[in-house]
Amino acid sequence: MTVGPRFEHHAVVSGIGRSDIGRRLNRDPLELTAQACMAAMADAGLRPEDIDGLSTFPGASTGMSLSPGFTGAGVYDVQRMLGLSLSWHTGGDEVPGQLGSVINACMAVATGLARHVLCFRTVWEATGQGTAGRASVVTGRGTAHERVRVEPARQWTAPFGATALNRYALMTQRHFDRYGTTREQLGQVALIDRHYAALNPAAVYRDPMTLQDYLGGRMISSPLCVFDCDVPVDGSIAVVVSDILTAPDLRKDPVHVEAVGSALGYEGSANMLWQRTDLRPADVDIAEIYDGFSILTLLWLEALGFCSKGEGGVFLSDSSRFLTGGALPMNTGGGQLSAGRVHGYVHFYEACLQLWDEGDERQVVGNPEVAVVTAGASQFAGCLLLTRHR
Amino acid sequence: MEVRPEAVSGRGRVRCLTVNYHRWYSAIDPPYVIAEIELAEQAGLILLSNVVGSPPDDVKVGMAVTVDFANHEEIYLPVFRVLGDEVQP
Repeated sequence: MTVGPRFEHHAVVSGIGRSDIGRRLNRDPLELTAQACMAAMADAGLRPEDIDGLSTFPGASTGMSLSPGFTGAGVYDVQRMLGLSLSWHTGGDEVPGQLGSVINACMAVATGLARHVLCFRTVWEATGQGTAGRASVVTGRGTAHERVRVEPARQWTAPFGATALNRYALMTQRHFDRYGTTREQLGQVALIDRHYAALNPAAVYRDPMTLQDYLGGRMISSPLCVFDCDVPVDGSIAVVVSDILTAPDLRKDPVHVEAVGSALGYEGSANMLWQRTDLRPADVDIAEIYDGFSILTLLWLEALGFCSKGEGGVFLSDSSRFLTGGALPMNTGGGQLSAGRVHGYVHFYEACLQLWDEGDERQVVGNPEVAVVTAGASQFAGCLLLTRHR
Repeated sequence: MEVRPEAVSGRGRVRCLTVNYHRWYSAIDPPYVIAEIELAEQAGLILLSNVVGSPPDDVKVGMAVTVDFANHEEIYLPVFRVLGDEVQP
């Protein structure tokens, strides 16, 4: 792969913000979105009139929205709500992972289409699924019966009772069969997340969890148990991506985007990331690794080269390296498994927070300089390398 | 290269499986086996389906299976049944 101009060096992260995030908040998703967006702009020292770009995943019109609460606000909702004058906007679900929306924003400021791009992700799955529980994810809420035509992509799975979760269960079992990975090893992802969630007042599940708790978790689809699956929540997270030339106008020194990975898949995306920087995995101070399912964290760790392919289970089994004081603090806000599924934006927010030394009780010591953030699964994957300074 | 449908024997092997315990659809009672079936005709040619007719915990990777068709009104879904206990790596 040829490395062209590194457009991402023209982009910085100038602010982050989040709404209340929790189970069944029963609040309007637009209100949550406003809360996150206003917080992000204030963090950057910007006002709505400064924002000229808007980017989201997945936006209001998406095939993925069939799942109730999957998307809580679209670009036009937010544009009208905040009265934004936009020179550029985008939303969609066919991007390099959920953080493809942030990578798009970096491109927009690098090409001069916008100076300050507000990026957001809003979910209200906890309320949206209502009392129908997780079944509503695949059948939609309010269907009195399920004699519904499935769209073409699901005709090969839905009639056999298979959902996205089952696909990842098969992927996990395959890793177990090929490499000897165990539930005890995989479960470390859930335990690491919970370790940090206990230090994060905004996390959703904060009670201590032991390996025995994990192993006794309700089996969903072998070998994945309930603790391997992230938690559907209501909430919104926003970040502002700015043109680096605006840095003197910003409230604080921005976080720099050192490299992006937007190629297909974990490995494609990770390889691309490392081709665009002189930094190496050993230089990473903080890893915010996507954990929609625990197996995804394992696969990303392998793809990023923190360990070799097939060694993810063994690498995770020495979990002290990922905990407070370890060499590679990971998912330091509790990840999606314990802090809630705000798709990749949870990880991006946390990486910036840590680089700004604003992590309070969970702050990684030693002035972390480099953070890697990943989001997505299978082909739908993307990652960014962020730095405190350039 | 010509691309066209071609009949297969309906035989294959279980390449990977998961036992699903969660009720996703009211019409499909858990637990049930979701498996990747590698068809006999071609390595790497995989169909996602169910293995039926055996207790879920008795189904193992490597088992030979053969197709059966589950009839739902005008629709016939290809599902698979275990052929004997032999397990091949």
